[in-house]
Amino acid sequence: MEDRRQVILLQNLKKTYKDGGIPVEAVRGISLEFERGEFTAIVGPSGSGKTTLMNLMAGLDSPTEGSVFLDGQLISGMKGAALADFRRDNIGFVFQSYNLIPVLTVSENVEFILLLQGVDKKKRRNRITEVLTEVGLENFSDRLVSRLSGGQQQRVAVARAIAANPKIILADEPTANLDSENSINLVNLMLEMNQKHGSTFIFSTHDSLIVEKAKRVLTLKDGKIYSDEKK
Amino acid sequence: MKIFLLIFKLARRNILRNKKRSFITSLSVGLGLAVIIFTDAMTAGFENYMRNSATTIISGEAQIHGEKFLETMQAEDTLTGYKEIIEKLEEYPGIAHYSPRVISSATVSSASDVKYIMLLGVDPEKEKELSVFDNYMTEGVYLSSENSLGILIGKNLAENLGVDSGSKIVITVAQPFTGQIYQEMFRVSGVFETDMADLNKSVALVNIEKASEMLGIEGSAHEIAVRFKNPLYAENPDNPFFRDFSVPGNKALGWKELYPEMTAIFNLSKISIAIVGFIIFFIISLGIINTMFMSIYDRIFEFGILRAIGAKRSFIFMLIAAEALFICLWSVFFGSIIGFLVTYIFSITGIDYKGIEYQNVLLRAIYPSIKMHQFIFYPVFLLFFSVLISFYPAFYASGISLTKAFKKTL
Repeated sequence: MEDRRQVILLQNLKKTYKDGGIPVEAVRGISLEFERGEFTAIVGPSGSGKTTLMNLMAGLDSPTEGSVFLDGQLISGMKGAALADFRRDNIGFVFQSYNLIPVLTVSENVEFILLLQGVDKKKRRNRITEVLTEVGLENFSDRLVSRLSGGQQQRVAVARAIAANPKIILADEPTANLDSENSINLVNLMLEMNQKHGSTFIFSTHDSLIVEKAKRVLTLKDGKIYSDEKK
Repeated sequence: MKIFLLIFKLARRNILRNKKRSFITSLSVGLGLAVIIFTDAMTAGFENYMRNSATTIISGEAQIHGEKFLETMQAEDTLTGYKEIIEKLEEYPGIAHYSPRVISSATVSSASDVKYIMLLGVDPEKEKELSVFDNYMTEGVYLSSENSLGILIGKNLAENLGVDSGSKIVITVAQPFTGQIYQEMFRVSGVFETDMADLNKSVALVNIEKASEMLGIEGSAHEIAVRFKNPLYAENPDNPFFRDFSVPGNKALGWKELYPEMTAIFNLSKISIAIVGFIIFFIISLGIINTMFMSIYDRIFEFGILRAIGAKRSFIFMLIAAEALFICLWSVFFGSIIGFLVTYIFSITGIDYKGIEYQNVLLRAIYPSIKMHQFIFYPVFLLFFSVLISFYPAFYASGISLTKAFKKTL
């Protein structure tokens, strides 16, 4: 029976890369569940498999073995346009940096994903205003993102990530290039989204601030779960 | 539709991200286009020059001959029904001028030398309307109907014979029907120098009545050169003139048939333009591919982002193709303007080819000819070709693996 609280299910996930012809086991049989509304940090040293695990959960890479279910749908078997559409409708992304389209304005960046979804103009306008207000950038909507500070850019990235009401938001080191003040503001913003809307956030991070705020901390080591701590 | 507008908006802004690179690429592609436009205009100008030299100097745009005359060049192969042809020409619509000619090989003797020449008997007034010997006089005066013993000779012939205006020379011909030799002494009334080297070396013009008398073919001629009100009329051998005057015994031909070698040269020119165009477009394509790949390598991560948030491969593909299209629109703008300006300047000043002889035509200044197709066909072809070429980088960009794009991130 499907657990309606469960949003991601990983079953015996394995990924082996070939690096210069030598097979490298980046993920070694990980089985995990993530529930709706989680605010989870995945931590671990470099090479522990964080990136690979995030790529697999996002459908950006396919596993060598095992399965990834998102909201009950097997995404590890999806390909091409179907996978692109699935990602568009179900997964929000916040990357480390350079994750916006620099030639577009703040509102155009947010609108981009809504356009891909085919949302009509009026709804798009309303949604853009709504999410930009939520991230505190309603007065910057016509500004090119390249003219914003790093902290503001990450807020736009959060706005874009939540605009399409995705099932999960995957964030890769979102505070890595921010100063401490902006990092605190961004983490608080995401926490607010999590608490207000019940959005599911999964972070790959080294930032102790995120780890501190996270409700669950997964530690990876050598491609395996080293610890899974729920607060 | 919204997606296409989004792609065009992104493409337009993307090429402005690196203005210098986009400008240099567009300018270099545009210069390629300008070269093709100029080459085409030069070829058209060259064709005009050759065509004008051939048709204006002596031959006219069409000629009527006795059926076998062009093959045999024998004086006995005169026109059939000469008087009827003249009457018909007088009334025929679309004829601007015509000039009957008597043609025979002959020898010309001066005090110092003897030369083999082509003797041309012409009606001075009619010939003046049709050919341009009167414009090419270097000394003396043009032929006169009143002076039956005046003769015009080419400059090189005059030099070879050691004569000049006013000198006496003797023309000797063999009468075709009797085999009798006929000699007549003429006084050089003028010397001409045309753009056709052979004419200057070996042609002499006398009054048609005198030439007919010498050959014993009074009341007939070997050739009637014709100029039409619309010069393009002569280019189509299916036009009624050619049928109406190719009655049994005679043959009417346009300049293209009279000078098949010239038509072949023009066709060769078109092939040359095609080859030059191919080479230039090939170089252009390398430039476009290089620019697109540089732009792609700069933005691999960005393409990864676009794909991650839901853009399909086709979106990336169309984005790259649209960027190539915008670069080429700039190129067309630059190329057309540069091409037009350069061609226009040279179409006024001309390009000096003086002293060069090509296909028996002495070249002077060639004036590039601006034609509408140069600014429609080549730019449209460039746009089509460039977008087609951009499919290669577009295909590459759309196929980039997401894990490679995000190598150090997600």
